[in-house]
Amino acid sequence: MQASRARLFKEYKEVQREKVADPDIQLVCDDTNIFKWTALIKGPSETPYEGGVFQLAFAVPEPYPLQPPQVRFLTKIFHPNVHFKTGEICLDILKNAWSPAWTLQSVCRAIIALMAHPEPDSPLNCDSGNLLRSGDVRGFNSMARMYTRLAAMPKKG
Amino acid sequence: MAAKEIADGSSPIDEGSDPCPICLGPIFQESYLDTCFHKFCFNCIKRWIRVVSSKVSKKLSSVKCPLCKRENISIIHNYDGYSFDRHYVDRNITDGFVLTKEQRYRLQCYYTESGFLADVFDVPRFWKMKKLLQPNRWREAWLRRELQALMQEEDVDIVLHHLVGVMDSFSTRIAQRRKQEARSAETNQEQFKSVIAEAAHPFLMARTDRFVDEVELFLASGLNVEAYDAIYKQRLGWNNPREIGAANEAREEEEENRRTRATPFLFLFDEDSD
Repeated sequence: MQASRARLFKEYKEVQREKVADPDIQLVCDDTNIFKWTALIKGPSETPYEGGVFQLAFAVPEPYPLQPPQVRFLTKIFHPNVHFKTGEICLDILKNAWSPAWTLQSVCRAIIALMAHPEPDSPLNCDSGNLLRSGDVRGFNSMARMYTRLAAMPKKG
Repeated sequence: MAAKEIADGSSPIDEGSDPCPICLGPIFQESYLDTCFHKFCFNCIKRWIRVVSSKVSKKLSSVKCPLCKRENISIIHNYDGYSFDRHYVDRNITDGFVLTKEQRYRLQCYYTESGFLADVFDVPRFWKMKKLLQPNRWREAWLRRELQALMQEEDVDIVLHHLVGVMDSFSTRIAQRRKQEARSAETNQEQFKSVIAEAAHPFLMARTDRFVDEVELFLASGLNVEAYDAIYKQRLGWNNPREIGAANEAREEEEENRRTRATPFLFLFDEDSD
């Protein structure tokens, strides 16, 4: 069995146990492919994402954990560090600052932290980054909240 | 979010209470980074260092701990309660300091019992005849290889120079003292060994005592490096590299005969001694 498979299996078992411990993250492994995962994360409170549930897609590379997993948002989100169309995430730990001590679970936590603390100086979504950089926090919050309502919340009947 | 949080996560990841942070399995061949002492499987951390070094153009001399990001220059492993080995990050690409075949053989000698060749070389006679005062031109070559094997480093010049200096000044002291007060061979032997041990200890640590025995044995043998090795290897029961490949039965039988007779080496020694 490859090292990556063995490690993902360990993570799987851990996720099953930790489910209750972290109610903000729900990590699910694909039924047929242990290298494909999806996660549902709750938008952090006191942010325009509060109340939303965001879906992430993980594609785990063969050399994992020596290489980071590829993660993107499946749910539309208005955030300076997330590509508006593809859902690609600009986060150092998913690139150069990756460490094999991170797990899929802890990557989810890092993404939640990124949602609460955007980095407008390395934007993938320039419109969003520009709003924050020009100091228009109110404008940013209102756009982000609108998209949260549109894409990340259950439709009200 | 600090990476440390992962390590200190509330519940342990596996049945094993302290899993390797890289494979998340029980730690295999426990090893530690030298600054932060975080623990990993030897192969896991080695693989990670290889990945990191493949991403930089310069030669890597230190690596950030995957858990705490502190810089470390080596992995400490093979700790057995007395000694340990260090695997340096800057040598990781070539998979560590590569011991030559001869250095590897010397290292293996250190796993045999001390005094294993005591019957072959006449060590007391060496001291009685004050043969330490005679120059031994193979001494430095032998010491260099010994230090390289034990320290697993290529460049041992400083330690070598230091040991040679200590030996020479000890010899000079004996030579001068001879005129005034003669001291017993045993005292000289004891003092020699303690002086060498003191000089070598900072570098060889737990292997110092055995090293001193080996130095004494080599000097007492009066042999060159090759001849000394031949006897050592024969005693270890290893095949001489020259014989591999051309192993016809007649030669093996002859070899067998020579091995069972222990005396030829005493003869060798005597021939060389006067």
